[in-house]
Amino acid sequence: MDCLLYVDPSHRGEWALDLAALILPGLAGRVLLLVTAEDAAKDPALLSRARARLSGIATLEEKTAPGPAEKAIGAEVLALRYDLVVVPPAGRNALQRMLKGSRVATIVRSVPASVLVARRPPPRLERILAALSGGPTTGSVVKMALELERASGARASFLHVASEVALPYEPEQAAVAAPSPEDAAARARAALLRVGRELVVREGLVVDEILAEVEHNAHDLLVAGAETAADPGGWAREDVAERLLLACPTSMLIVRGG
Amino acid sequence: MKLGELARRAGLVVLALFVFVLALELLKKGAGGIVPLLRGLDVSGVSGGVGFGWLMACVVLSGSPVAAIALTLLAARTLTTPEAFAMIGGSRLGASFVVLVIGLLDDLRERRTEKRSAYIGVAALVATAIVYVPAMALGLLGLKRGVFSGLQIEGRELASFIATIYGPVTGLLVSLLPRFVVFVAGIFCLLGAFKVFDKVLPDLQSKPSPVSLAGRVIYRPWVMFLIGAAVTSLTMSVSVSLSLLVPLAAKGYVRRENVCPYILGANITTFIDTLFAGALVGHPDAVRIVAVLMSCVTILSIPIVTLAPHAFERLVDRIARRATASTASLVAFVVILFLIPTLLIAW
Repeated sequence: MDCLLYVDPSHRGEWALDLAALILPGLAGRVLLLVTAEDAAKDPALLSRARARLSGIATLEEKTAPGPAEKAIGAEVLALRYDLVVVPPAGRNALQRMLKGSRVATIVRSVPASVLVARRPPPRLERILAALSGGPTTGSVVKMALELERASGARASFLHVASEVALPYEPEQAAVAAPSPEDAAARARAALLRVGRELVVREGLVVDEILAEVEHNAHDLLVAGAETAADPGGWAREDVAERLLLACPTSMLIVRGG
Repeated sequence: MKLGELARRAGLVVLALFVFVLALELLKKGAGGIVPLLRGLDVSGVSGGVGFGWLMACVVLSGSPVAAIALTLLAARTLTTPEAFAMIGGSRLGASFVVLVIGLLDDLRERRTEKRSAYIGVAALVATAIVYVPAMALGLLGLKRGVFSGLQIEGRELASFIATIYGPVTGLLVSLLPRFVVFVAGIFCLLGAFKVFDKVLPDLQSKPSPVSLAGRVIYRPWVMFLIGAAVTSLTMSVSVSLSLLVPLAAKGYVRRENVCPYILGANITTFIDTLFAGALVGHPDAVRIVAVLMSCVTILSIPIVTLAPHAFERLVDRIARRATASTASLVAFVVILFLIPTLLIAW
């Protein structure tokens, strides 16, 4: 797996480095440390300090590119294919996000790679939560969660949220054979059956239930699938992964399908 | 659409309109007969109007006929402008009770412990109440301050045209029957007219549409809001619009995230038929009070949908889940649903 790690000069940059140190040695073959030219000019030792923190990674490269971060990361990922991008949030408040947008959301939308958003990781990863929708990325999310489990020594658990509610209708309106909400849970369960794992199912609003599960069981990392072109609904569809990304209190990995 | 089918629907529209206007005329003529009932129940003032409209909508299982009745009572000077306004608002608070009833029957049929099908009815009622209560307060203030005074339509020419067409029928019924019976006949005509209007609806269920994916896809809130408004502009009934979320392609499920914005949109355009009734009843304030309420609901709904849709969803979902967790909790919810308007009338 080829990874790109954005080196942020702020204290949030430490989060990305700490998380990368926990996960990437067991996961990544090659890691590129990317810093913007403006940050490198202000702190010439930034890259060397980052390199020193990631001594467990076999192939470590460095690069400086013109900023801002979103532009630098986007250009690099488009130029050379990466499987994973590791980036901390920019720490913008609500007003700044309204004016400039969210850095991590912009990166998730624009790069054709999975994105790991680092938020104050613990000393050790112990619990990973993988949210399975039963949609096109379910298989990829399961695979990634199990790889993270292997790489970090944490324990992955798997959650599906059934947010469907039954519509009251006259008996004659009921279709005889039709897809039902149980199908999404069944697909998620089937993906886990192949690897001998169990699925926890909760009912409620998707984002709220996932976040409640993260908080309730003190998960250190949330893994979820990104929206794909194969998902129905097109432009009218809400990006649930982005909502989770902005609201999640812990680090989050958004997995691209395929 | 084939010519024959088009002609059939056109005929039904004409019939529905004829019966609708007849109903309004009967209600106006028979309004005097309901005064003893209103006085006996001590229905007066804004709180009485809200309570009466609310209870009537629960009993009649629809809000639109009750709103139309409120306008005819206004035209007959049985209710004042604020009272009629309150009754229309109250009718919306009870309008989705029919959805709850159908859901409950479905749950009983399937012997569910958790009242899952009742969820939608409870969500519709709660979402409506959260918006309509402040909307009514805002609207009453607006009415006092003279908002939309330019919409005061005398409609004398239209009134005299309607009197020419319907005068002989209504005059005969009034001479033969007690006023109260004429009023009740008006209610039945109104319900009949709405049934005929429902038959005129295009067959939305058999066509693929964004609505048919609402059981699988979580749509952006403003998209569902616009879909709810658009669908209800055709159906003019929130409960019918909700039933249209049961597409033939799926087994009658909707993602709960889609429910609230849909209902918020539906709650605005459901007034279209009431606006129409307001233009026909012949009171200068009839259109104005509907327009004021519609505007206040819109003013409050749009910020919810654009700025805080998820907080709103969370609130409604929390209440709806608690209310449908068991039979006992649902019974408690229904008791409260009837107790509040009763207390408002008694106040």
